[in-house]
Amino acid sequence: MKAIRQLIRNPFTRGAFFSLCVIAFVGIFSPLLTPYSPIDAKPEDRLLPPGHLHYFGTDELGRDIFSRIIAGTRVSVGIALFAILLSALVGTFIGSFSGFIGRWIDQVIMRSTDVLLAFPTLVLALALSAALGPSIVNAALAIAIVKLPIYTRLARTQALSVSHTLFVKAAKTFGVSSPWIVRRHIVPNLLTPIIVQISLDIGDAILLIATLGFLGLGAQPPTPEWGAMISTGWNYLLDQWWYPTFTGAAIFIAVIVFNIIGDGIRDLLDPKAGE
Amino acid sequence: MLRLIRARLAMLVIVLFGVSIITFLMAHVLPGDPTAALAGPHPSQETLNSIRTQFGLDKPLPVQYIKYLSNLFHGNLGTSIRSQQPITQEILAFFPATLELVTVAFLLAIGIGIPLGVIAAVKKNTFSDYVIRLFAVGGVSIPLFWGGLVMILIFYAKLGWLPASGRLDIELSSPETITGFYFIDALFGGDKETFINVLKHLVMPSLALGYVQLAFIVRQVRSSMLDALSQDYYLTGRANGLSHRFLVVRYALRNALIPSITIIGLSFGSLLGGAVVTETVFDWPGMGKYVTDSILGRDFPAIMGFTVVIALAYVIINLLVDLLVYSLDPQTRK
Amino acid sequence: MSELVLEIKNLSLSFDTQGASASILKNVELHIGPGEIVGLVGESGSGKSVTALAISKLLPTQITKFSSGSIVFNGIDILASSETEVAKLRGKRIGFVFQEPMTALNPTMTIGKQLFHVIRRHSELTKTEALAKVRTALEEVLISKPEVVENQYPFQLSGGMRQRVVIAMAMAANPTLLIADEPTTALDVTVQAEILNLIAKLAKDHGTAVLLISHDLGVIANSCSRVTVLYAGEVVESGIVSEVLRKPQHPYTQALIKSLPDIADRDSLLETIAGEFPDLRNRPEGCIYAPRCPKKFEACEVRPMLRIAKDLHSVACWAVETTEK
Ligand SMILES: Nc1ncnc2c1ncn2[C@@H]1O[C@H](COP(=O)(O)OP(=O)(O)OP(=O)(O)O)[C@@H](O)[C@H]1O
Ligand SMILES: [Mg+2]
Repeated sequence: MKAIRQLIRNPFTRGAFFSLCVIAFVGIFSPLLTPYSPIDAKPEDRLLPPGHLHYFGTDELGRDIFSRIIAGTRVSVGIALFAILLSALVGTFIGSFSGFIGRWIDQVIMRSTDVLLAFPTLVLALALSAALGPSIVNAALAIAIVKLPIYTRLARTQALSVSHTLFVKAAKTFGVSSPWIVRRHIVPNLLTPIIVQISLDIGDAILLIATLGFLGLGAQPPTPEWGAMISTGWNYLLDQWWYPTFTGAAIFIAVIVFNIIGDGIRDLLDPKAGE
Repeated sequence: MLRLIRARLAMLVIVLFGVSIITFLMAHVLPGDPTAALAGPHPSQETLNSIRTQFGLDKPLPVQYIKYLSNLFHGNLGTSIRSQQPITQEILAFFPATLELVTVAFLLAIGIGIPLGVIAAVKKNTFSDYVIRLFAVGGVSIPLFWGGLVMILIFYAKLGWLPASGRLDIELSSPETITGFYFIDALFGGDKETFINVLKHLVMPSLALGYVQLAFIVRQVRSSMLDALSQDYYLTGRANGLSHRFLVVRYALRNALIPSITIIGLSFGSLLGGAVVTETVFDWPGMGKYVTDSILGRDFPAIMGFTVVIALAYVIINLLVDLLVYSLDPQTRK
Repeated sequence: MSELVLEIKNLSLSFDTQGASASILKNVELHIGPGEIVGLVGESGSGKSVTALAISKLLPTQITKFSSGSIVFNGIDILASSETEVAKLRGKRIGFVFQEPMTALNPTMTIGKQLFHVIRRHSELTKTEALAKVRTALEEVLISKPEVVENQYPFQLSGGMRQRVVIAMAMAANPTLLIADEPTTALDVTVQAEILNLIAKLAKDHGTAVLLISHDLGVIANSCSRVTVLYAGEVVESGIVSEVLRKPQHPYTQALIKSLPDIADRDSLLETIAGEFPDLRNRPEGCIYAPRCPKKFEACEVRPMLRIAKDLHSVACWAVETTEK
């Protein structure tokens, strides 16, 4: 609560915060908000320009683009959230055990993160989702894997510093089980940096999902995913400019909102890293 | 210096080894079965088996991996399914176009990004700072393909100022290859029309791609500049009456560059990834376009070949960056 | 006494950050004559550095609010001057030495270059002349191998050596006033005396006036002719060193001197004087020291002015008999 009040104080983050609320609202209630079905084709209405019936026009199958963008909010943002949370969860788990247990296991895990980091993010995501086969779930998995090394390293660093503190050493001497120590002492200390990292990563994940969709590797038709919509809309770019343009604007707005919020949370929880 | 290079090279070998394992796993183990793509729709079991034997896919995995590794070692990335040509050669043919695009985008990004980052830091919390920061957040948030799309709509469709695709108009013949960079080759070629045409083709793709990188640079430079500006030595410099410009450049920026370069180097990966999207959007005949075409054609070996090459390039760039930082920081140089 | 080098009168300033305002200095009085070494003492957080930085207008401009008083340096009204005008004085007529030699030098520039740029900035010397001047400046601060040191980076030097370099830079343009803000606090005890002697010698040779800031009365006793005692941003006592140290009038100064054996350890100071340091966001109406003062009585509800007790020895305390100002 206090964090939210802090975020609202700065005009920069205030705007972003309210936009975030709108996005969340649209994402949660999207089935109630779409004026038309985002899926069913209506050939007689194909490729209509924006107007009072179809705010953003219609696509090549006569579907209302506004409705598809709204329905797409849930898909794109939801999948991005899912991918990042999955990555954070698994990465935290691997990283804290790696740091806590040490020895050769730690070595192997750390070198593996080095290897994953040797690929540019998008290229690895692209190769992985191509290898897994194009589908939105696989795209989410690919993004989760791509982001994994960041969380693993973050968790490991924290685990290392915590496990050197007295109370954990004491717990070890008294023969408390490792999982218990990790859950009880390491995870709470990890929370802040992990939350900061998650908030910084969501925007990026939305972008990645959309980019994979654009390249034909993410969601498959007729799913109203933003990137895939632009990919099809591209064919109509010059004559029906509204088709890909509005959809792209939706991605841009969603990502910028998450990024501003992410920066805000970072400055709030971890002032040293910011400015 | 030599010690560092040796340590980094050893590291590089380990990492590349890991890279080969990962691409191998992606190509051979993950469910998207390459034989299915090769065999076409509804293949008979016989066709599948013969393809398996032909590509050695019937052998145990470790054997396959050794084969794969030794091929990689000899620069053999396999054969493209679509063209039946060696992938290495195809990628080499596309490489200069990508390198040209990425280099120009990168130069634009540092040329504009560093000054903007410095200005934002020096004028912290003023109007200019807010504008620059907004501009930078925009850069890390904009979907590259959409940025390209908007540019095409405005500068090509609406105003007709710039071409929207390729490296050169089709009527013009490409300049004689010297460097593989069209704009340098055209300059040497001496044909003014070709040169201008090449530059026009470069503007939109390099700006679209450079913007993302620029945004990274602005954010990073701003934050390390702020750090440097709050250091004791900066105050000493002020108390000694050194000029503002000198203090900003030689005291603050010089020190801020050391952490910045590392981050800028890491964000080079986003340029390489971004090139895939940019080339697709602007029909730029480089490796990125090659890989999206391969994705559409389910050309698995080609995708993995590209991935290996990019990883290799990225690792080498990061090594160079490390060496650069090393030579800039007197503390590590001795 | 001839014209003063520095005269601070009735200086009050506060730091205003979003919503909150902290009154850092209140009615500060300080003056320095030509060639004179004046000490400024006070415990940590008493506003010594802020006073020093104010003289060169080096405080963060966005948050600093001057509410009263004046700073006059060599007849120039500093607070009324523009940033450009003050910038011309920095390094040229006012030299600065800071507490932390470890971080006071640019880590990515050689010692010689840093000195060179300061010298070039304040003189008309040619490049070769300036390079020669770098040598002599380093020799003057008793650096034995200047030709080696000038090509080294700060991290290659010890703290004492770095402080010599900082002093060389501050003295390079032969300033009228040298402000030394705890120049020895961060150094080994053995080096401290060397640095203090160096400053005293240079000041004497060049006729430079020095404002020597310290929380260590021992340092002040050895180097200064006069001393001003600061407590929570207010001057509580000032006068000739021997007078103030031998016959301290203000209860705070008395407490300081009583705790002298411990004083080298700055953290222990606050503990040896009972009570808490006042909250500067909420400066009390009356005497600033009253809450900790053993001699407190009704009059202390009102803020005491700095009044002359005798022979230029002034005290801000109602409990002290004084002749009128
Ligand atoms: N940049 C700043 N922003 C906010 N408050 C500051 C700043 N600099 C100093 N202060 C405050 O001003 C007061 C006086 O600080 P100052 O640095 O002058 O103390 P000092 O006497 O030099 O102490 P020390 O012996 O520790 O150097 C302190 O309460 C400090 O918290
Ligand atoms: Mg101080």
